[in-house]
Amino acid sequence: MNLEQLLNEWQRDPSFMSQVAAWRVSEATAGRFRPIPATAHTEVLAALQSRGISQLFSHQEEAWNAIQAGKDTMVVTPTASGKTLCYNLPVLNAICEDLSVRALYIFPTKALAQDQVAELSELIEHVKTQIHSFTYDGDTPVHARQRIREAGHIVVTNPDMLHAAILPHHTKWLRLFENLKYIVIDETHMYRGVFGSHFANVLRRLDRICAFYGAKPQYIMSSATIQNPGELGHLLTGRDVYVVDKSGAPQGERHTILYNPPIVHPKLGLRQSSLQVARKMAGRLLNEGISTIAFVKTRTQVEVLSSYLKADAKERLRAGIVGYRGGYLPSERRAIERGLRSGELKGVVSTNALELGVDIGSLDASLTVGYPGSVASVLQQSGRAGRRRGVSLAMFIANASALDQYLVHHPEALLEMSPESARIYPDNLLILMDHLKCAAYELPFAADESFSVETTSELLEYLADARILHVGRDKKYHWMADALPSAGVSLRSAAQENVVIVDETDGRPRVIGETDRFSALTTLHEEAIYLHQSKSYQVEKLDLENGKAFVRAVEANYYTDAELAVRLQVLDQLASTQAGPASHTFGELAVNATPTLFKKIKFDTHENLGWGRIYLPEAELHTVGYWVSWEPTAFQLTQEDWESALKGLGYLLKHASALHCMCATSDLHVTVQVRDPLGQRPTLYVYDAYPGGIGLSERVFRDRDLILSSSFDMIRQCSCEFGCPSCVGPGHVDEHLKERARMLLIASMVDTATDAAHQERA
Amino acid sequence: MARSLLERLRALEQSVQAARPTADVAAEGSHSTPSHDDRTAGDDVFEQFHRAGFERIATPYGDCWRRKTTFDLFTRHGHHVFADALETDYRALEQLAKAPISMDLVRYYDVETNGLGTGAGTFPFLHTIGYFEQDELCFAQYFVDDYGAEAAVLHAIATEHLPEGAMVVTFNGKSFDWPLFQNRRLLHRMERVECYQLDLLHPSRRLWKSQLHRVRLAEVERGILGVERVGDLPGSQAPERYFQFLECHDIELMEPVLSHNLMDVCSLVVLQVKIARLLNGEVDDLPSPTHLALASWYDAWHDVQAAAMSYERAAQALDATWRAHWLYSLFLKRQRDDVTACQVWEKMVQDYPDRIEPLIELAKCFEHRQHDLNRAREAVEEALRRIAKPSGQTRTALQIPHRVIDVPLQASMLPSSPIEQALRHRLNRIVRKLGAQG
Repeated sequence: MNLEQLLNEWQRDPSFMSQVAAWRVSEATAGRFRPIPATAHTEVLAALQSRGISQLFSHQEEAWNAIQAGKDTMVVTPTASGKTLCYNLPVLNAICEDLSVRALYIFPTKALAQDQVAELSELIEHVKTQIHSFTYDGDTPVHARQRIREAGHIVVTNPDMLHAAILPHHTKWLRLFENLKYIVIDETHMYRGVFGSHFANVLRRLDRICAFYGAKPQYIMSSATIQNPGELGHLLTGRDVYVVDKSGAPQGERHTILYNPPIVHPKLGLRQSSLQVARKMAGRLLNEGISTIAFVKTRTQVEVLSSYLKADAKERLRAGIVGYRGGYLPSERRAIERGLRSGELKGVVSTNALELGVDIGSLDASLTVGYPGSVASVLQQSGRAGRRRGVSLAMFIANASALDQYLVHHPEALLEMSPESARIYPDNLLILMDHLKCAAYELPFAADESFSVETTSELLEYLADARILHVGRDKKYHWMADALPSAGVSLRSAAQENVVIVDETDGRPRVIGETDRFSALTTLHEEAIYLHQSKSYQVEKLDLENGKAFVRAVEANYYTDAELAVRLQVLDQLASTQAGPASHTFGELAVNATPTLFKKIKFDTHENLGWGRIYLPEAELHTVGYWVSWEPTAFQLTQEDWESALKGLGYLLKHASALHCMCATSDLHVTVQVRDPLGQRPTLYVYDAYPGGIGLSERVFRDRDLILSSSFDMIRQCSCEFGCPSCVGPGHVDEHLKERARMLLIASMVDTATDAAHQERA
Repeated sequence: MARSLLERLRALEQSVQAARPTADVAAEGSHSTPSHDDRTAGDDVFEQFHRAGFERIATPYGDCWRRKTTFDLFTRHGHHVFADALETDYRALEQLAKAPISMDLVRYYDVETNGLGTGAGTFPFLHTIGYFEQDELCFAQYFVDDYGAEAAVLHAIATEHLPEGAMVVTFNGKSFDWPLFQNRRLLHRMERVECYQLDLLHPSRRLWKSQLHRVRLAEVERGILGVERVGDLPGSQAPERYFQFLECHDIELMEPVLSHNLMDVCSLVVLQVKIARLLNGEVDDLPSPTHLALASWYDAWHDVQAAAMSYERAAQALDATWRAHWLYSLFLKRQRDDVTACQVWEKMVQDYPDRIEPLIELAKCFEHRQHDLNRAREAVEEALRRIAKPSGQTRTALQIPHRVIDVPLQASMLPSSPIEQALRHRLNRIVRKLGAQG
């Protein structure tokens, strides 16, 4: 049975259709084509011809024209619409015209870089002129590096390498920087949050160095669909960016289904687990021979779902189903990517590691299990299925969370709402300072130089006071410490160092993966079950100091889930308003988190099998947050009532805030205190999960009225009786979670709304 | 109340410090907040520099400080006097340097920096250049008293000390001091300086790595050159000294660094002599590995006679190892000196009862070159007997530190040893040939 037939079957099946919140079909569209620009270099024309490219899509032509006109350009078109040619064409053209021209390609990950180089090389092979393109990353052999620096027309690298190896050693890259004409940034939408904030600063450093060598390169960027490509491009590069966003590529027929798992316990509002539904759907698709990718939210879920699918599959299909996620070793990942491209692998379960442009070819069906945190991610994930012709399926399976349930009740939010904005916050103090140090190491700072922030001179003075910089007689700030600043700065995570996972099962220690330090607290504590390629390992020892976790393979029928105890302290109030009985504040917080205990949860049934203690040092986080506190006397509530009200509202606000800020729920933390240490008032905190903050809770503070009202929608639309994961979180009859949270919400909201209304009229 | 930007920054940095052990080593020393107002420093500082023997050098890039120190040629430095440098035959060393060595163009060069690494922020604050002038050994020490004075220093070094054809002699300068010098010039947009290079680190490593714990200049001085330093400031403390100097501008603080660096460069002079004389074959009482190192150089330069001599000495030395004998025998084999080669192998068969490599070589030689099939057969049979011995040692001993071997010995670690198959194959062939003869 092919996909079209299966879709027909589902359409006739009432039990299936009753759970479908929306089913959209987008018709196949024809492509819009344009002739190849005649102004292109003859060799480039010949190369295109021999590659069988006789015309361009309209967006490729538009990009070409913009780039030739000297504009910094961003191409935003769907997956598989030929974005790569948009930048390869002008770059190769420029090199054919002038062999001294250099271009720098930056991909967010090593894997992507390798992929694109393969495609680039194919094109280069057809150009008569000898053009050298090289990948410069951590795997590049030392002896090859010299040649790349000298002779590479196109140097392909990633932000980490640029940050740690190229910029600090820029004098070795004289040839590149003096002749740099194009900087290509692919997958630009990936640069958001902390990573994006770091990257913007890396580009500021790059810009300084280019200026030093007298170059002013032009940016060519490409991105998956986001709402604010121009703005993101501007924030990253500091330039005004011309956006090309009308795709001229053809598209096959496409079915998008939003599926809400059936309710299995009406009173509790419990729905069938989305993972179980995914198991059923993906199992069916795979057994019909339809290539399928399923996206889940966590690494653990990757392992769980892929082992389910393997277990359910027919014998001959089993080897064709794999998991894929961060934490696998590069060689393992490459093998999986190859298998998917060749069709040898039919099914893959992935975290969003594969949502980016890793070339795995196109599959027939994609399942998104649980809202991945942004509409852009959903689009990226569903873009994995779809070909230029033929039918494809993108299915979204909601889980019980408030966010997911909001989306299935408002399918238009997912289907029609434009994808969200990618936010970055390059002026996060810590990130900025890190890069200011790196920049000073690379070139001394003139006293009046600006690093794209007004406070540059103040910050330089601070570093001089700390004896990290030294003001010379030339009044410049010179690097003076005995250290390489970039070595201490990781772009990927605010928690700096990684923990490698060492398997000691058969005597010979073997590294099987790695994770960041903060996650290690909850996933690699002693006795934790670590899942890797569907195998269970138990952590025997976590050596945080040396960044190692030692594990041993075990047979376990459960996985572990750890809890954090949080202590919170207000450092500074930056803004505050009073509205009725509630006061809203934005400010800085110090958060101390200690993992306390972990639960053992059985596979399949997800029942709790027991628990254990975790002995690890606490981690400290300085960040920014929004908090709301209430005048206790304005309410007739007992201690228990407050606990329920705050717990319920906290759950709700976290999800509503994440939806509003278009971030993952894990980017925000929520903590509640029935009596805060400062004012002895009940208080609810929402704060950024990254040191120094990345602008999320600032937004929550600003848009609190909107967020409170969509929280209210979430409660109102939920049919459960006393709280479920879709509104205020699972509750017990006696807790009155829903009731109390609703009461507190109305008290906080109505007042502000009416206040505002009054003010407007006045 | 709202905290200032800097207060927030301080608190933030503190909170993440624990997670970042590498951050800001220098920040720890910030308890004293010194003023860096250098205008008031002015005259006093000049006075101090002059008293310390520095002179002010004028360049188009501004002024900079230099101090010249000269040594009489007959000053002793370890086992040598500096005059030895002028009375040494450098023809062999020229082969190694792949460039002509003329003592009036040799420049010994070493720097002190604010840290290791070759990134753009590594800053050399002291450059010492040594050279012979008439009957003296001179050292010019350029001290960068302020970051702003660097351009002047770089200019002065290039124009005053690096004429065309100059040869820069360094220890680890090929990958550190010299590229650093060029990088700094690049940062001031000055042209590259082209010079011949002679880095003494690499030959030192080859000659003495078996003797010295780590082949660093300090170890070479102590173990090879007979130089003992008294009250020397460890090089690792130089950066911190310099940072202190930047705060207070007291040149006295830098004296230990200046003399440490001077000593380094003095050692370059005698190290060059030492290596040249070894290459000349002037010393024969050497450890076996040093003879071997020499032999492999001669071998590469096709100086067969010298190579033969050194290999032989390496094999005859009291500390000769398996490797010495083995490399010697392979050299003889390449020279087609079957008789001597067989003698070596036969001795090795006796001395190393667990090894089979010399037996294989003997078998090959007897079978194909001497056409003595009986002895070839004996050798193979003995090799097979040795393999059969259930000794754990045999296995590990089968690693041959040389490429010139046509049996995949590594594979012999496998249980069904291909080496054994190869031997049996060889044996069968020999037996077959014997049969055909008979």
